[in-house]
Amino acid sequence: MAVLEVENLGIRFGGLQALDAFTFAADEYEIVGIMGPNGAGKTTAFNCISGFYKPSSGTVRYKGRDVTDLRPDEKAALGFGRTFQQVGLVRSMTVLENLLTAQHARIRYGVLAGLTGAPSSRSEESQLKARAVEVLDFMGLAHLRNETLGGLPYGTLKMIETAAVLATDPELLLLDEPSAGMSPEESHQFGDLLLEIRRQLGVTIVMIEHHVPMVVAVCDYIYVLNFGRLLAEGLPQEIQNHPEVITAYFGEESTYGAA
Amino acid sequence: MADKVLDLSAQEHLQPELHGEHAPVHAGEERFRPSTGGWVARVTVPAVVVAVVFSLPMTLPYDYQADIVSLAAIYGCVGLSMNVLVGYLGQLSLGHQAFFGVGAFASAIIASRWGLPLPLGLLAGAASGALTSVMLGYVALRVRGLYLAIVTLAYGLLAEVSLFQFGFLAQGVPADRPTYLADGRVYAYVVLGCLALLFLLDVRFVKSKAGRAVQAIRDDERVAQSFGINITRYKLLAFIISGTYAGLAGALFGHMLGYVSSENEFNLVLALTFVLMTVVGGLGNRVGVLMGATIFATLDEILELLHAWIPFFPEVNPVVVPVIGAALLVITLIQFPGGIGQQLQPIQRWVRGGRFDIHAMHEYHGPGGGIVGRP
Repeated sequence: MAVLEVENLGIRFGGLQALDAFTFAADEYEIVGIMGPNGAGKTTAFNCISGFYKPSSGTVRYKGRDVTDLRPDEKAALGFGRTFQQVGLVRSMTVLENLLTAQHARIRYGVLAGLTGAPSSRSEESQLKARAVEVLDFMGLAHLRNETLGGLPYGTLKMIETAAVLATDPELLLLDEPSAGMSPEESHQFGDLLLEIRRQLGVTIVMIEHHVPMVVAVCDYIYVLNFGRLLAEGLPQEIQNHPEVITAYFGEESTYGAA
Repeated sequence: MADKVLDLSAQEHLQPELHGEHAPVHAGEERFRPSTGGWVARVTVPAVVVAVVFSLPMTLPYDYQADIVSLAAIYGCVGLSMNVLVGYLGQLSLGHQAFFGVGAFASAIIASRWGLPLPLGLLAGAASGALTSVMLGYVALRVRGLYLAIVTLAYGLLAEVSLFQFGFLAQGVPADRPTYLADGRVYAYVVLGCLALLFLLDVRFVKSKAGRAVQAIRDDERVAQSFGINITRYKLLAFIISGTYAGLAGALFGHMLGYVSSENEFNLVLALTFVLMTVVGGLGNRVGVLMGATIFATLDEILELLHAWIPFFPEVNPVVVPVIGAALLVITLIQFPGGIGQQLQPIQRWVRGGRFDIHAMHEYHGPGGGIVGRP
């Protein structure tokens, strides 16, 4: 069953057609990669899918339901988990507070119960905290729970961001360059982690990624964008040796391989 | 979706070697735990502070001196109100004197003109503050930052020159207190009680779903939305809470004066004072905000006392007092962007069970920048 179906997605900024007739789908438990050079429209596509931009054309379907016009927070409540190119965390909060905030859509107690500290809110808060610690533990970050974000290295922040997104209890993960700022070994290990997340949590993953060895190792299927249009699609091995993809990344005269 | 809740309890750690490299230097360090005596001291100090504040009105020889305490506590309520909007939501309001004034008039009309009990008047003051803040809040959803500040400024001026001049309001409204509260020393306890209530609500608020949502919106609206936070709803909520607190503070203010009039009270200078005291007190730090509010509410008296007690301390012309406030703001912004609250950090951390570390004063994690930059 297709979890995410994107059809004919397009958006225009003034005279620039940033994304044009982009069609793709992600099945349950699939890991789909979106590649392309800078400015190809990858993040724009993500912003259209997750509701931050209103697409000029096309539809986004989630589990068969048309969700094109929903707000980002409504989509998050439905199970969209989105990370950002820049670290998507609340920077004045500690790691644990970030994970508590990320569980927002799961919280059932109301504003007044929270203000008055009603027993229902207190017991739910302690559950949230326990679950936040569980997720941090799962990601191997539990020892950082009381840290503020300021002093932490970029790679760690990306890990915390992933933990926060997992805390939202997503069924569809949209990861925007998750391994940016990581060393080659770290990004390789992060790829293993993604496979483990899929295996244990059964999520569908769509990710924008530049790190080719990681994409090839992790993704089941890859779409390549260039100048807002779909350039190629296929299995990782096919994409790796696709002449047009190589040209798009390295230019006409290149003698290098894509990997 | 609910059936697919994470069940991680049975699962082993993933990829521990991935994180070893980034383990913080102090991860192996024992977490500091105060001794029993340490805890006793940590409970005693705040308890003494609270006890001193609450015994203040009782020990004052004159009725009017208690009004100084009341005014400081009323400014404290406004400070907590400003803190919700400026500190937690990160939006500047230059129209808070309007909520304050609306609350004062509403309570005066209900409790004094109509003769209903005072608690109803105070409730009406709070409710009218909430109502007007919803109206402003809807506008605030469309603009933010400096533009919002200008909208709130216009709103405050509108209330000052138009709303409070309407019909019988223009002549002023008596705001009598019931006889059992006639003594300012007794009334000061009503005000302090309200302040304590707002303080406790604020403590709960920041730790609750709504408080976290509002602060997430302040830091990054996109991130907040990706966490499932409806930014429209929680921005409005911050306005409503802020307006409610300010309305209640205004109601208390009216009954402190005994007469609510548009003549000289609810003007732009007051709005600026509210902003100054909150920023100097420290955005996001409620104890700091209360101290800032106290300083600004009693600045005249403080200067008088200094003149009386310290030889050669000049008598300060009241005209100069606002300049002192402005100077405090400049010093705050340059030296301590976290205001008094930042300077209280060593003490606050100690009270919460940490070591006393004077250097904590130079770490600022709150809104407005500081150590935590955009990663």
